[in-house]
Amino acid sequence: MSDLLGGWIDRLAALERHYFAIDGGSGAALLAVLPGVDDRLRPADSPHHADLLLVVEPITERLLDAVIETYRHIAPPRHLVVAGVCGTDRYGMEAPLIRLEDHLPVAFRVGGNTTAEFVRSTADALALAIRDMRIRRRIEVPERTPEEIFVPLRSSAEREIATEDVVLSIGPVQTVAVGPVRLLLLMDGEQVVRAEVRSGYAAREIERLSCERPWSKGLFLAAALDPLAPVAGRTAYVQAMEVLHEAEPPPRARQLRESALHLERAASHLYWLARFANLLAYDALARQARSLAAAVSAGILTADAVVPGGWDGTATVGGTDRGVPAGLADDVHQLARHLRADRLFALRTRGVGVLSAARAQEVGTSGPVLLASEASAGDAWARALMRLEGVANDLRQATDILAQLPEGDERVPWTATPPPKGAAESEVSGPRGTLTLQLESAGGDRPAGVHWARPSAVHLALVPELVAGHTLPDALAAVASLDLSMAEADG
Amino acid sequence: MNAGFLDTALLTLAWLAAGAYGVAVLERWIVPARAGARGVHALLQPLSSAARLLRAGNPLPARPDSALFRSAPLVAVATVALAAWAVPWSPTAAVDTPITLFFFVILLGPFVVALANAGWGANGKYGLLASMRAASHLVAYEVVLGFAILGPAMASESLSLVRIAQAQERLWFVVWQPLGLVLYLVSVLFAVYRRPFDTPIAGSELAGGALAEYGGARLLLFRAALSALLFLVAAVGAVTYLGGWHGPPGVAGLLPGSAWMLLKTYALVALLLWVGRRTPRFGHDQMLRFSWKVVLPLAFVNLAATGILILVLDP
Repeated sequence: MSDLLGGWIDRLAALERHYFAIDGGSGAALLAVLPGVDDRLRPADSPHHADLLLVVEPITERLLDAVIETYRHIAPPRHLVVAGVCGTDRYGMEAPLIRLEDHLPVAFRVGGNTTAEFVRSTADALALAIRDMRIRRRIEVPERTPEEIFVPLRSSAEREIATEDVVLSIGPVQTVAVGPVRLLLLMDGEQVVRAEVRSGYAAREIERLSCERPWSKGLFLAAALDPLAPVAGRTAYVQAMEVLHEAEPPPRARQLRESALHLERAASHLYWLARFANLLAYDALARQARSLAAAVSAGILTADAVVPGGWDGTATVGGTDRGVPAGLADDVHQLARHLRADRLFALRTRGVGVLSAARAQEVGTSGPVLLASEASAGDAWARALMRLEGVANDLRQATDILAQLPEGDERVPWTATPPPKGAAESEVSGPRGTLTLQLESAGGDRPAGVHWARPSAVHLALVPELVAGHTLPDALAAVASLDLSMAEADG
Repeated sequence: MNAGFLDTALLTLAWLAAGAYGVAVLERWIVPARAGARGVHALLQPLSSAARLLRAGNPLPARPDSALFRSAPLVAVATVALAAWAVPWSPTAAVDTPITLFFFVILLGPFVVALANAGWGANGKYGLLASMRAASHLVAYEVVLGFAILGPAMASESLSLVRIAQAQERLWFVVWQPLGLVLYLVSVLFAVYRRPFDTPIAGSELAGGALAEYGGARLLLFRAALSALLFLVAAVGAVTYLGGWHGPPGVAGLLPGSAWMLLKTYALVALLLWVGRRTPRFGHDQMLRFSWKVVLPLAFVNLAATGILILVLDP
């Protein structure tokens, strides 16, 4: 009798799953799409409210403690699902990444690709699998001693009134950036007095790995540098290789790469808007952004098509004739107009995280953050609108390029020989700003030097000055408005 | 304890649970994850959620203030159950006192105690901030709510909810006091911790705030109490501005009075949920400023206008 009842309760409980997600760095698109995939799958605010922990890789040794700690707080029966690229499979044995299966009872693993191109299928697979999940293994989870941190409080002379300061630790699992980062906020009530940033939870040491692996493997590592923008990373790497080889890709390939970059920026910005709207608890905006992002992702040109010597059309799903669905740019433009007139949105974002143009140039920001400071007020509001208007532009330009593709070859013959001795620099404008790569060859079968200049790392350094003096909700909005990709920032 | 009291108590809890269930279903319908996802399983999902939480045990945080942490959900449920008493579903199913309306508004107050205790009891930074927010929340809505609800009391010359409903037999108060209803709805959004004013239990800011450390049956109690609270304030809104059990003129005979009442209540619940979906969450300071600098002056204007209309129209 009690078995029968238990069975029914199990079936009833399976009608809805509440998941809590840990994003190791590549989950931006997947986690933005997931709430809209199946109405039985609902995101939970806190691990205590969830019965399913969803971990998106990569997971570094440093992040493991947080993952285990979060897992312990998930309501029993605890389910654990992993999505993404496993460390040793693609990054190589030397990567400082861990297989979660070695530490926690993982129910199953989904997908190998969590980038915008494949996010829909991954999300569908995930939703389906979670619905039918019955596996319950019990593994003793080891106790962990938490990392000790020290944040100096203010002396009584520095405080205006005799209230006590509180250090609020946010992260490494948080909602303001993609991937893990820890913010230590010294709070005076609701007000942030000072902020410290602890990063490195997503550090995969891409530069070191690139120098230890053959040239061809570098393509994957370059795409993985920023999992949210694989086309940008891969294009930068390929361009640098072409300079070293003194090879010139055909015009058609250049144009295809250009349009792929446009589409990637558009999708990335829209996913950012969905995340930002979620942070502000603005459901209607989040849903709009999500559906636009999904529409753009459907037409995106894949990173795998970017190859040394040109463009490999066979690597794209559905060939090169994919592109932007008609009218999408107008829809985005419409949304930008509404958002500009949206007074409630302005109320939450105007004057939040203001970065002056002079300061933005001084520290070397790029992309929408720089543009918003130069052409507008440089606050969270300006950044949001700058990105959204950028999306409309990117979509139009991608459409134009794809409509007027020059005829001719897509790639020049390419020999797999290592590039001759020399150095090259290439620059690509990605979603978060300008991505610069310096590539050195000593004539061997692996690169002699790889150095990335990463926009998120620059923006991350601005966090303390942007949040100081704000109230907590504004401080979080200010950080989120920078669109930090922690995988890229940590390298 | 006499049997009649126990019956009443159990009956109150039962219909409150039913009301909260209705709110939970509506929540899934008004706020679907994607367009067209309003499936029938929304009818079962609240039960699914409840089953899941009941099975999850009663986790405690690392070093809780045990008495406060354990008692907070019970305080929440008790508050709601006491307030539930005030709602007249029909002229016969009502506890009529001369000050029911006053009683109801005052009884919304202790709910803050539940949230503040919950946040404090969890003994964490998120909870601490949340409990401070909850405390200042009370100050933000109580005065405004009191003024917003004075219009109907003036018009019916009574603080009895039954008298207020009876006074609207010919004309609902919303017709000539529309601003009053708007102010009431805004202030109850504060009072029931719903978006855009849900800062003490904010999900994306404080990981659930006061409720962050709760799980299992205690979380279920808290959630049910919050839903029931929304249900109750909507019911009182229906009584004070939408004519209570009186159906719209012409079609009033189609349904019994209590059915009209239920229909209006859920219509207001749906409206409140919909508003929450269309607005970003206010910052906590913005919320307080909005309450004192916008809603309160408007409530005064409404009060003056109502007074003048009563003199002129003599309804």
